[in-house]
Amino acid sequence: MSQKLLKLVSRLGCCWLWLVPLVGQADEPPLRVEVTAPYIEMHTGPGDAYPIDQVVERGEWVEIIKRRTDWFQVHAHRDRTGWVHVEQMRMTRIAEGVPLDVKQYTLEDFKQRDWEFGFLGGDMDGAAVLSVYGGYSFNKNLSAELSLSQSLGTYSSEYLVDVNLVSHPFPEWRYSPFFTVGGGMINTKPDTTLVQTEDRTDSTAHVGVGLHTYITRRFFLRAEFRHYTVFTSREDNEDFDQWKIGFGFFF
Amino acid sequence: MENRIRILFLVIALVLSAPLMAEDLIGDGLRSEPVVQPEIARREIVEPDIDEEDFEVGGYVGFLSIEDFGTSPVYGVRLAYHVTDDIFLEAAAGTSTADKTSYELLSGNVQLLTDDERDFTYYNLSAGYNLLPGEAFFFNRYALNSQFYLIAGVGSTRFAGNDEFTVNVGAGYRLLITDWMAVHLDARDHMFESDLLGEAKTTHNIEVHGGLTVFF
Repeated sequence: MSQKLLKLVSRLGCCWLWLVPLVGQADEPPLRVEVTAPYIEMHTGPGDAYPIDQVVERGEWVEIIKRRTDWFQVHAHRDRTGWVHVEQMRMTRIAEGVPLDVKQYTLEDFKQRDWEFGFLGGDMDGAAVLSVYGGYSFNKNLSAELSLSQSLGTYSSEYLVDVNLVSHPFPEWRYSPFFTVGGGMINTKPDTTLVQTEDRTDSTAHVGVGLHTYITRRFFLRAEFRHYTVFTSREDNEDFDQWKIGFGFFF
Repeated sequence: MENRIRILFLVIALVLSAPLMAEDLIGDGLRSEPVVQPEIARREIVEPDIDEEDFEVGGYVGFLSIEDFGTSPVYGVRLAYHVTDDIFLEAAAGTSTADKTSYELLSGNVQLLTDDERDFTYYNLSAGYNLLPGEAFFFNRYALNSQFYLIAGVGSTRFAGNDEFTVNVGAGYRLLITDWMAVHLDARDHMFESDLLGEAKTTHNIEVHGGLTVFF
């Protein structure tokens, strides 16, 4: 992660200073693999639509420069560079009997995740709501989350900050349900075109239920329902429901 | 009779103890050392550390035509994640300042909005689809990869002191100058409901911008 950050900083720095040719590639020597298939095809770009302009034959060695989605940029001798699909990279080896083990995220990785982030959209009491959240899993069954939401109604907009605990009773299920309980703050801001009313901030508590399912790579789908109670300074507490659906990715 | 009962008890005792005895026998058998000790040299397999570049981050500068409020410069930042070679997700945030309406300009001293209310800021999350991947040729020396993409998403816009739910649709062109740096040209329509000038209507706020991004 920190290496990635370093790379980003150096690249942004390069753009800023226009020192493009000075960018050093990774310090470590690139990984070299030997082709074991009759040949592998090099595309001119990282996509199926880009034409194949070179092939590398069995027994030749190539250097892996980088990976983007399912495509590997490789460099072969006689100064050939191109992009090879992951399925063809599986037909290479690091050494005798050691095929290239390409990292593919699976359902198992999803079950073992530590961190997750996601975006959700939906309905809150008749208004559109947008949320972003981050979560950390203590174990397969319990995680903690922090979420920020904005609800955009006709007459007012609301900001919500919530901290909640999530219980996953069936982490092994493909469609795994979860239960959540937490609390937070809500800030209500009436539209300026209405009669002037004041901003107000109240504390909230919520309970919820949801479902998530692994899609592909680092992605999963998440849908949830939450029931909120707002502890107002007035006589009665307010209640409202929130429905959301969205996706998340995990690390 | 007594004998029969005794025999019955003995049989029951025998039947119940049989599995235990059998287990003992098997257990003893298993506990003995194997005749041949396998000698397998295990090779250390280190998971290769390949540089993954699925994220793209950058900034942009352009023009935003705010409905009824003229055209102003806009600045923004974007972060994208490439899911496949076709699909990407993008989070973006931008800011601009609204100009005056033609009514304000003609009437002289009338101010519909305060200076703070003229700030137009937005954020959105969109999904993009790379439609026409291709190559652009430059001075018959360079072949640069390029993509045309369609993009749409949802977000929020703060304008005239209000936050509005905003839908954006657009299209763009990404030209990769190097393997990790790209130039963008983008056109986007930010649509939201507004009742600022009396009646509620859907406003179209067209943005055209150019940007620079890096992959990491």
